[in-house]
Amino acid sequence: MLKSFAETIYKQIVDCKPNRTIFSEEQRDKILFQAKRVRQKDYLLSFDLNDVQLHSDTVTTTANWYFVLTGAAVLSSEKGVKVGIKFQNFYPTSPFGTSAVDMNNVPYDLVFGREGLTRFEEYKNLYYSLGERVTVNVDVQNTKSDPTRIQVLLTGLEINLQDEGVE
Amino acid sequence: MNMAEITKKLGDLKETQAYEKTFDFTRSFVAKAGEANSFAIPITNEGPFLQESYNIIATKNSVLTRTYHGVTTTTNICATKLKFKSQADNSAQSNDYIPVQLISTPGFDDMPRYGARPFFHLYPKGDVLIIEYDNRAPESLIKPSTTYPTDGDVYTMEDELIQICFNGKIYPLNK
Repeated sequence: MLKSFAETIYKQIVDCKPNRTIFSEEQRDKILFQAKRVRQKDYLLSFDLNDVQLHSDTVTTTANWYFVLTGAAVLSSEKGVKVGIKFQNFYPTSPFGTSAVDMNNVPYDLVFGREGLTRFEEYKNLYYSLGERVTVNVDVQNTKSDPTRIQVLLTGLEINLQDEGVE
Repeated sequence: MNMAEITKKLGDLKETQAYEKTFDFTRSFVAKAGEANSFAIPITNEGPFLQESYNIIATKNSVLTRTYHGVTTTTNICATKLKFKSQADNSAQSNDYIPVQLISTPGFDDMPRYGARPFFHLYPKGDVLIIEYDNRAPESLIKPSTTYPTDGDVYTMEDELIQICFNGKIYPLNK
């Protein structure tokens, strides 16, 4: 339901084409009404990896707003770093095709594309309908012995359904 | 296209822009080396501004001296971090300062960006956008190890020109 709702209002608001039909005052007001309930937000997590152990950190999204993860980006100096993302308290799962329970971290070169000493391309193959006040867990692992620092940016839509009366 | 069609299109355009029109909201500023600061920018009073995406380009005046496995290299970079906030809801659009490298031109080094970064936010009429920046030296991405004790990043920070274009639509409310 939430995914459908997000797609419906998000597309209507954002996916306007040059040849769209002319808006009326009522349509404009409806767009603005809906736009107040959708916003984007970034969450940044930073890790210092001084060993080859798995490191985890979490971020909790805003209260009263549903969170839909739509992209992630990684900034690291180390090609051997693996990254995993999973959601703790709402449909526990991982965007990377492994279960939250036995998820193996994915080499970030595989999902974030081009290798390099710094990596900043967004990985956009994400669309997860999540719950209100979601806790997102990020696992990172350095497969090499070189200590490094990695920053993971999670970006997504926050949707407020309060007073909306959506079934 | 004959005159009647042109007239109709102009009429349509006028009618359309009474309720919605595209708008590029552009600002440039200099992030002073070693400083963290913020400034406020009033957004148009014509109506609510629905931001859909933004482009950021930045100079790369700062220098990263990186020693990795004992080999030292230098690179020109922009190490500025940004945070955006709407004064109306007093809520930051990120939980922390975001490195420009993560949210700006995602092309290869020294190449123009392809496409804006989608970022959706509604600013009500009369709202003020607050841009916070931090141009202090970030922490090293490289850490020294037992094998390579001199490894690490040293940043020589310089002033950076940050140019941002927020792409979106204005919804005039005077009709």
